[in-house]
Amino acid sequence: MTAIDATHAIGDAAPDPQVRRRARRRPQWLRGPALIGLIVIALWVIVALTLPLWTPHDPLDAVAARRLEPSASHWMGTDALGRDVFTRTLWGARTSLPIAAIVIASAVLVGTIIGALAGFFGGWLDAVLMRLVDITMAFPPILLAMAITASLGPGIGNALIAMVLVWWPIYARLLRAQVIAVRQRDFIESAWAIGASRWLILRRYILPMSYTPILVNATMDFGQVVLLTASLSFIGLGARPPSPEWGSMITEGSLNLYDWWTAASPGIAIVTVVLAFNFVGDALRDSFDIKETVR
Amino acid sequence: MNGSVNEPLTGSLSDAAGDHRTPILEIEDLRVTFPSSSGPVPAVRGVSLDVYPGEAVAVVGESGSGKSVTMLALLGLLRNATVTGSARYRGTNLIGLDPATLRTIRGAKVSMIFQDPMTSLNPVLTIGKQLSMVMRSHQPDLSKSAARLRAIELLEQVAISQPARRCDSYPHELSGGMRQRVMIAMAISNYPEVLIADEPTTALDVTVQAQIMELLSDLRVQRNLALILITHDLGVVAGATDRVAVMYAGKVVETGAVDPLFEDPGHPYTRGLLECLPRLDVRHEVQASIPGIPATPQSLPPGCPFAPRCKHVEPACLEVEPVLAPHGATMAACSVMTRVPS
Amino acid sequence: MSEVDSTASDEASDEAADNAADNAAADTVVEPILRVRNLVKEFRVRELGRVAVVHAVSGVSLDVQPGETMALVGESGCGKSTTGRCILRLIEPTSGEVEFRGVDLLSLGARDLRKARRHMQIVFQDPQASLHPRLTIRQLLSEPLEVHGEPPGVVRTRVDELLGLVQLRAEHLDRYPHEFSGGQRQRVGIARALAINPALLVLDEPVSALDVSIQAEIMRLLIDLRERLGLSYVFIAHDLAVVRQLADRVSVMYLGKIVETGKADEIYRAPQHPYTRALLSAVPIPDPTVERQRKRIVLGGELPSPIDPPSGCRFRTRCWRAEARCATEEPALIPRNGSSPSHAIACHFPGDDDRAVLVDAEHGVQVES
Repeated sequence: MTAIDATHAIGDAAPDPQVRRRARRRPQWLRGPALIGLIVIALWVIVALTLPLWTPHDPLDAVAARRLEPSASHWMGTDALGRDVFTRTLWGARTSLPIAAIVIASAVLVGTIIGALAGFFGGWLDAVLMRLVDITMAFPPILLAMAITASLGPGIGNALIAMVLVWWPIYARLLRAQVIAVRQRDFIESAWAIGASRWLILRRYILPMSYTPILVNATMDFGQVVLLTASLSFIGLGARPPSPEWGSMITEGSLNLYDWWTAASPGIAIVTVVLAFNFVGDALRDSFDIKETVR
Repeated sequence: MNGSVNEPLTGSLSDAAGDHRTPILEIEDLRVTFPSSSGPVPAVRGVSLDVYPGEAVAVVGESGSGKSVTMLALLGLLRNATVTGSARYRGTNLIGLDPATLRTIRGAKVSMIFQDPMTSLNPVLTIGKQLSMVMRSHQPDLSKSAARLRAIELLEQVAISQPARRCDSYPHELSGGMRQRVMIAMAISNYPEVLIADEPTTALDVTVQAQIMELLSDLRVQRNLALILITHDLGVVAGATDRVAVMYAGKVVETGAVDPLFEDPGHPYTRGLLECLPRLDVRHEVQASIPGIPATPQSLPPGCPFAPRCKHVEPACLEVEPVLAPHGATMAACSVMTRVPS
Repeated sequence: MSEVDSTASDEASDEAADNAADNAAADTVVEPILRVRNLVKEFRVRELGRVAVVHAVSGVSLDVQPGETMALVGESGCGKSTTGRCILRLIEPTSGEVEFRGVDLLSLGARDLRKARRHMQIVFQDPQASLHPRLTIRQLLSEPLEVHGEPPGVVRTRVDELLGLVQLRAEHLDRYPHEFSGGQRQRVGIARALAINPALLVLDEPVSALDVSIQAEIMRLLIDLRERLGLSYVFIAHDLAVVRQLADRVSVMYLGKIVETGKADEIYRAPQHPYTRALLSAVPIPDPTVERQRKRIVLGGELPSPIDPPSGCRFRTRCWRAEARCATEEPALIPRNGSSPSHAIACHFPGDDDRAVLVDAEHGVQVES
């Protein structure tokens, strides 16, 4: 015999005033690590937007002697070409963050459309689209990104296209699964019964109920995309020098590991961004789980 | 404490079974509180009930009444709950009993079956295996082969056809009615003296319900088994039980033998329930209903919890919560209805 | 009167069934608002590689007169919910005819079907699940009107009217379904179904999920609305006591077929099909004196699988009156044994006195007196 929880035992005769309050969208998930994550992200965004305020140096030109260790005037020292590493790290955010945002937004858009069509209409459309998904996902992401970028030619723009093409299938699958689950629920039947058209049902009922896992995944993926961009740049397929992208900075830094600061600085930047997004994504997922089960 | 039902039932099954003066289960002032983000929730607020060997007692109530929680509490099946009061099985208080001793009683001497047999049975084990496990955990000397034989016997006793073959079936291969019979078989496998059935037929079709109630009644007679039937269905109560305790908002609001309770209920809630029930043998527009919604433990009004919905309410009802007092042949917790005319 | 002979070709028994249904309407000359003939629904289920066919509904015919309440009763697996949904074409029937006010619903294209949906609506069993959790009550009630192109002014007025009809208050409009109790949610469900003024309402177990004290008030609301708005109901339920309160006619279903149909009083007072008799005797009555005196029929055996229903009469595996004929010849649903023209029974041995014998648990039944 198993023990039974309070929630099952009490029953649900009348609405709980607690539940009413929760309905007013107060972000309860915003505490602990998630709060820290959000602050970190906010800081990076602010820094990226108001960059000249934070550092006097130019990211692209030599400003001091080469390979200086970190000091009071150069917080993260200088790299092999005499550029201030700290400045370049901060400027890197201007490349990495928008790229990641665009990649994810595009991948979500493409994935949503394909996933919704497949899940809602089913049949041969579903079969064809899902095979497309399967084929794309059969390739290791980094290899596929490499292959696409290599064939399009190196450059951050092409890397972006490659990453979108690599990333959309995950969202397609997620959304399709959600659409199929939501499709069965009684209130969808109610919508059919009142005479709503297919498109209305898809738009108004199914999609709004399906986005939660996408949101959670997208948040966590942000960090992954930053990493992928960095990886592509690391192998020379993404940002071209002298552009201060974190990945290419790490490449340069790896040529001479004694100057640890040249690689560590962008590395730390990546870690902070990825962690921040992971914390936020985790908390979002937990909060959505609760919202789904609270009646 | 005021209001516990101690009178043995005359002319009931318990008489025939002998020893009807000592209850086999005595619940006294049982209280169950759950913690919640808005403070402690009193799901059960002082329930007292005596059960005699071989008799069938119904505990009736709607959702939020605390009927299930009461029974779960006495078997120690609630997590996170604070339970006070006593529930004595043959003199041993089950509340606060050490887990090891409680386990020897639970499932063996006092058994319970639940509403949804599908979720109560382990889907990855065969029926036979589950039956054996239950038996061998309480009768360690039972060998595997002996347990299997007993399992087959039990399945036969609960009227499952082809019991030997069924022993090797999985729960999903059986219908709802059959699964409930398996649950009953498990519950009686260790010769219990008290069987608590929590809404055993609510999820079943009415013809299957008739079969299950029939089975329970037969088992009661054969084994002198006391049955505590938790239900919201007063029809089932009328046909299968000797005594009734009506619960509302965590307390027993009326109790008595089944005939007087149905004929002349004291408490307005019982009265209301009986009046709003649609009956198969009468066609009338269902005129009555009880206004408002059932009180929940989270939102209890001061005084009598039924006052907001009661048509006999008086000012005193909103201040003091009434206790069980005699009303004809039943005991009702209503200061208005049990008032002795001066 | 002797039993009406049922040995006839399919055509004749179809005609007889037609006549029975038409005779039910013999009192009035009005056309039925709903006419269902030989409705069949089969589901294809894949079970470990093999494809099995679930015969959910196997030839259901019924008529509903305007203003009438037809109750479709039966236990789980009998196909009543599926029938209800097929009537509204929420599930596509495999074959058969469904005519609403003379229009064949099954031949309508998507757009015409949507327009037809104005006139027939459904109330679901679980008000929790059938109301979109993220829409406010106002939106839920406005939606049916908006979908059918009503202007905002009309929508607003109608929503207020609906609140009055189901006794909800204006302050409820901006709340979400989860903030309400079960009974209130069901009122919203009913209001939503009534928004566009349907003439026919299919109610799929509308009170089963509610507490007993609430059931009564929802039933009263349904009866009230029926009078006020002149609605016709197809009331699907398993609780025969509830059904008795508002049904004019009752059709009893078993394993995809209607086994008995007739006016409510005929079914409740003088049921002739063995399943109906067993069903009625199994319903508990909240009166100990009556219960003690009742003659209860306890069915043995189990419900056969709808994938492989018994040949001939589907009830024969649990029937104490069954004989060889029942396995080879399916009984037609026609008046028999002296029953009135509105009372049809699908049984070779209909009757209302049972001298059943004690048979073993495999196929029989025990009668207790």
